[in-house]
Amino acid sequence: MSFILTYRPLFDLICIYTVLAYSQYVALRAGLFSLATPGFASIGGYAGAILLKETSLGPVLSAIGAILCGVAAGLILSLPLARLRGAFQSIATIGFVQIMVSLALYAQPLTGGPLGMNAIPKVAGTTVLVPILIVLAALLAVINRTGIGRAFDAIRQDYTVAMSLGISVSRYFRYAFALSGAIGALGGCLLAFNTYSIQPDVFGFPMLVLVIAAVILGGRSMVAGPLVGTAFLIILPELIRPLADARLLLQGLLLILVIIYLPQGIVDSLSHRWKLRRAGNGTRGAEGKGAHELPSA
Amino acid sequence: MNSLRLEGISKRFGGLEAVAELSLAIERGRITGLIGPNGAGKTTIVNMISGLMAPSAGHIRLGDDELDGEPLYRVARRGISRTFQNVRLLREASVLENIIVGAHRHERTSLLANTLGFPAAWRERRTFRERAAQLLRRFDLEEFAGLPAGGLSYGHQRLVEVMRALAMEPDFLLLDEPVAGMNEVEARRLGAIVRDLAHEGIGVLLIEHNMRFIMEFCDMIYVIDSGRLIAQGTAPAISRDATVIKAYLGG
Amino acid sequence: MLAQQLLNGLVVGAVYALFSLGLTLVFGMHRILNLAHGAVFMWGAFIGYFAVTLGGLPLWAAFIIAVIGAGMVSVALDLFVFRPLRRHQGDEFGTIVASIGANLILMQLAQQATNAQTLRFPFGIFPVVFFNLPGMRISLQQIVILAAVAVIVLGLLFFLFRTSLGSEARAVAVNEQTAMLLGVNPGKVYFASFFIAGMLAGAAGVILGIAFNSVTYVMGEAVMLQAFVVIVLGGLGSVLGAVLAGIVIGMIQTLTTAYISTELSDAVVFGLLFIVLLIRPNGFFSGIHTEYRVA
Repeated sequence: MSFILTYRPLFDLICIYTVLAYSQYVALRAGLFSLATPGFASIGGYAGAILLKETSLGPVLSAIGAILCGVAAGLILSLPLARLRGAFQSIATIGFVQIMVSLALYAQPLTGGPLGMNAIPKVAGTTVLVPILIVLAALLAVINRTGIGRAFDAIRQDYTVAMSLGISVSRYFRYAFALSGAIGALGGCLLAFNTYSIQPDVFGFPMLVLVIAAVILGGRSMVAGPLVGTAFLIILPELIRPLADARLLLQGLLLILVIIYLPQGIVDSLSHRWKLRRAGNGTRGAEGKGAHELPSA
Repeated sequence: MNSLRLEGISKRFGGLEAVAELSLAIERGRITGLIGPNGAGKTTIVNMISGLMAPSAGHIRLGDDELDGEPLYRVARRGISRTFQNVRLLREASVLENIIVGAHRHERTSLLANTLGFPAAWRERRTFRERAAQLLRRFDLEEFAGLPAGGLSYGHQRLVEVMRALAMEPDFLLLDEPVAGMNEVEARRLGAIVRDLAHEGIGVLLIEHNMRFIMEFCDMIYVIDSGRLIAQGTAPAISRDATVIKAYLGG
Repeated sequence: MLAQQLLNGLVVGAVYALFSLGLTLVFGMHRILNLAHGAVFMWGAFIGYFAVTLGGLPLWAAFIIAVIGAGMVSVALDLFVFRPLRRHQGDEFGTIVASIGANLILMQLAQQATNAQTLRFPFGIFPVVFFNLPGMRISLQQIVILAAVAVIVLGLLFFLFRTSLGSEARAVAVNEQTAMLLGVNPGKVYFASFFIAGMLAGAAGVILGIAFNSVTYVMGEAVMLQAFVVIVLGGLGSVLGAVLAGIVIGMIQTLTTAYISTELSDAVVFGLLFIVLLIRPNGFFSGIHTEYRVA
């Protein structure tokens, strides 16, 4: 029993950061080079905390308010960015994250400045986090299997081909921005509602790195990817104490190694290999049809 | 909407004129060939028709509508689909998934329905999957349905691309060098399928360098060199045309 | 007063331009958005600092060492991060992610080495001399900065348009495959472009480190946002664009800080980025041509 109690905060953190990772995941799945998740989280965290503390809306409505703010932010970002190519999206969204941190630092009356907001009632304990995570994962799995997932895959892998098939890339980018904004804001709100306090630097560069590393490491195609990546990145420093200090350094190194040598991430690479093996067994009799040749290009 | 016509199309890249005052017509139900040596401008022409680039001058007409300048995805939605010279499949996705993506233009369910998983979205998915399976049966490649598309042989990848283009149920199909890299048997098989497609009413534009293939399967052939039309006509006429012989066999 | 602010803005802007030039060149030529560029800038400042304090070198020598050192850090980035990525068929997104990782590593190393402290160049490292002009005062330092930036920019233009390596670089910028067919060795060009970008960043780092009298491991991050606006406003790959946009941004930032508030200057700069992306994402100068639209 005490084992569970000791690790509960860690477990909660994994749930919350997986939600944040899902915000990043949605963007990457759609081929959007957005790194805006910490910005969305900041909006959601502060909006949720302010609504909860200053109004009588209660936790659920406050969270919904936070999510709507996230959607709005996503749509605003999509105005210029939905029709631009990747590098521009990265530049603008990194800037966006920085600005959100600045705003949180300087809008003292609203956000409490550098000290942030404190004494936020803990309304999102483990019993709330787990169902939310499950519902979110299910929603994303549904999206993956329907028309949106198909369009996202096409756009991500080859946007010219996607367009030649009639897919409007900007429309799907707008959708991805809005969804990423909603989920990011939800994550930020959950962070505020679970950890009693939030400060501007929580939503800065370290979160950006953690979230992108989680998705790259775990995988950006299947829904299980971000969960695996987040769990790995949060648990590892706990297992190997000396490593905890060099945490950021290791994340940087991991990012580089994974993106070069295992760009699909753990979950997707395993699934890919399993599919190949399963299909290979089925077509062993069709050797002559060239099923095993790889193109030379 | 019986024909797709290019009227006096030109394309300039900086100082270079890649295509000059080209006119041609692609009729539904017929196979139209476009042939020319490397660098003659064939792919540029396909790119202009499909909307990847806009012509510098001239008009592209679909029936009575003007297409020039329309973006890629709108041209596709009008029922014009294409394949690419260097096969561009979604390598990570399975063969079946690659084909299904082609059906996008027929999606009727909303973003919301697809997000929340309404029955309509699932029904549509099933419909598209069946359509893709039908195409696979027609091309005799059913067993590859679940394989990642990147693992197939080059010839098969080309066929998958054609199936994807057909999933759109297009009125016009632009095939950019479809038999490059295929052996005789595979090429003939594709030719036969293309002939069937034409009989079903699709207007096919076949771009190739393989003279024999074009001669065997095309109803009407346009020959270009350095961006200009140098001859047009049926296969027998073209084979006797002096300018064509000169361009191809160097006088 | 206004004239003074504009002058200050000009000087800050010139340094932004210097910093952004490296970023825009590498992106314009190789489509690599090197987010570790800020770390290179920061390492340049540190190398310069340690050359003075530990090496006891005069400023001019330390500057040269810092510039070359930063160039080498930049080349190392390409060698150990971007080149393996290219060899493993990395795409544009891969380079962005990898550069984030590299930035992190470089920053953490600097943080550990300096124990996260703010270092300052020794007092009097640069003579404090002022000249009085109608309506404003200009310091020797500002004059030297402007002169240095001008010389460096001219040198860069000379390199790009008057040397054979420079024309090879421009060929690679247009199309790497075609350039290879013409006999250009892309490896040489990558080396040169990263080295030059590093040198530019290192120079900017030392200058800023002295001008603002502080060298910290986060100084690179502080200028990245400005650099982003500069390269978008100026047009990706354009030297002239980066210089002019750098000056404009420098002036806007200085004026905002002087007349509105320091806190809002970042927000104003970002707002400008947003507007430019909305109405003219290709920037105001087309440099080495890159496509910007997706849909």
